[in-house]
Amino acid sequence: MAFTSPPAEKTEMMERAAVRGRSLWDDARARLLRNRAAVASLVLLGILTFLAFIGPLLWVHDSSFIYRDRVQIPPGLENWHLFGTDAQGRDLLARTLVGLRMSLMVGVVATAVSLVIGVIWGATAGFIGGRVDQLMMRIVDVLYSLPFIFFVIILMVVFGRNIILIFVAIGAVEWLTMARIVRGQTIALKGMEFVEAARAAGVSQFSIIRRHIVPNVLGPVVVYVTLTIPAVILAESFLSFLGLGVQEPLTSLGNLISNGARDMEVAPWTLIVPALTMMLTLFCFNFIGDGLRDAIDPKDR
Amino acid sequence: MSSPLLQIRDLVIDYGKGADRFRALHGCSFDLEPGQVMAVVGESGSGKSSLVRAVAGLVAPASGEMLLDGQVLPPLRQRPPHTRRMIQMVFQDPGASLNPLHRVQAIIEEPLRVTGYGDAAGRKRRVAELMDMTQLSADLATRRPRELSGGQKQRVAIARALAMEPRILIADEALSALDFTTQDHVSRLLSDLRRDLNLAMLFVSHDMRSVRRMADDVCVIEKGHVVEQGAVSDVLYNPKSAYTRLLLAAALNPRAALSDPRLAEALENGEAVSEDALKGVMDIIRGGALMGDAR
Repeated sequence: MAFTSPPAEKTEMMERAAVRGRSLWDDARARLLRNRAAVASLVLLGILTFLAFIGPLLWVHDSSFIYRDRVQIPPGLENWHLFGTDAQGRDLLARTLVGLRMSLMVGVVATAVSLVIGVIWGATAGFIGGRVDQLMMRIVDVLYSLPFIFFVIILMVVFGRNIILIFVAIGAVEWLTMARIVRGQTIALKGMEFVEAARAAGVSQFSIIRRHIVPNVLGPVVVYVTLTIPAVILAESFLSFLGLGVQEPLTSLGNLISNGARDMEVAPWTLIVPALTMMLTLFCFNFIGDGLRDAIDPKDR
Repeated sequence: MSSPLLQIRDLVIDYGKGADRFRALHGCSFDLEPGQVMAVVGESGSGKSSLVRAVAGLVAPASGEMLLDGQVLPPLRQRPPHTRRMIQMVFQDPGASLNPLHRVQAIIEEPLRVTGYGDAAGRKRRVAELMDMTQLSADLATRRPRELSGGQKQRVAIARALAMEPRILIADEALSALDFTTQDHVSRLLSDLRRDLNLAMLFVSHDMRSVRRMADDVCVIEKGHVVEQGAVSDVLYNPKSAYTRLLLAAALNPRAALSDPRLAEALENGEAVSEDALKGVMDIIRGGALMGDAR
């Protein structure tokens, strides 16, 4: 036989080559949308976020209102305490929604802080290189070796308990990994010929970082961000569980779980409801992160 | 007689500092006239890329002189815009020399923006012109590098370099990543551009075939030393240095060159080759020249 049909991979490659004018991000989106777990997680997370931010405004019970005669009512339709009430007689659904809102906010804000610091720090160190790079990364190493809890307790002792401190404390730890990732990527990109071509054409340093370096670093950064948010939510819960986190009457999922754990023998739902909510949220973030990582495969670049 | 376009005098290039210092180029001198094509040949690691990268300003020389139109050529960052645009470069790896996120239009337009060329519409027209000059069809403008073939990518890189209206184009192994037929197309394009624009070129290559076709003069570099320099017709058809002969032999008939144990050993160790072995090399070269590769 003189003519055999081309192997399967080759036809697939040819088909892909036939698709015109599609960007890296279009392809990544298409791959992400083919990933069922990631799409389901996106939808579920959207619903949870919507409920956490709009729910408390619409729900019949206020999260901090104390019904003195309705302490530890089990879940049911009576008086619309769908998820029951806690040891003080507050509606658990309302409290869970408010707690979820706080956890999501801590997650997003602390991650945003770590993203901004990490990207600027990493890109600067990587792009300038030499001694500046050495110095900047040694600072990161030193901060890395600081015990997290110890660091938080010191902050609490010096500045007193404050919600802002939790953002600062978590953000201060999470940006370190981000800085390392961005630095590594920047160093790899800096040596690429398209960056040299831009330099030879006289493109300014700032424009090179903005147009050529940062957009190309974004892929791995986006993935890392979606995996950092759940890590931050967990860290906040851990602090709240130890009594170092969010203070009453504000609450977070970690706070609710901590209270629920205390009452779990008499009112197990006060533990189960926030714990399940947190689990669902973390699952969603992790699935989305995994989906993104598969979608933005660096090998495809 | 006016001074040449580019004068290179005793150029020395070092990498690293102190004990780690490595001398990549031990003094190299040549002149380049407008429209002249100078090939720089040598093995990988011989320092040929370092030489042209210094001319492009990407590497700062340790000593020596570079003059453009009789004016001292400083490192890239200190070059005034009109000097910087005179010397542009096309890189070896077409896959790495274009930003994967940008469309062809934006890639070719970037140097135009830097030089403040016209308004958006004017730049668009100019990009279309440049794409036409490099034989890229207009519908490729909206594509991204990964949707282009190797030859198309290299044409985009050439169009981007030409956007600066350079007088010297540096092609650093610009053909070596391409397959044979594409090499022919792109080298023909480069020859046409040189003729139409009176473009001088520094043409780095280890491929003797394209050197013979493209270049007027050739500079052979071995381990950072210039071993032979002159017109292509002299150097390639009547090589004086043993190294040039070996390069030629390896290029024309690698199997014959390597099947001779004396040559293989010399190639590997970079040693001087005995007169006896060189006779064999000359036979191979003549054989290669006779094999229809004459110009």
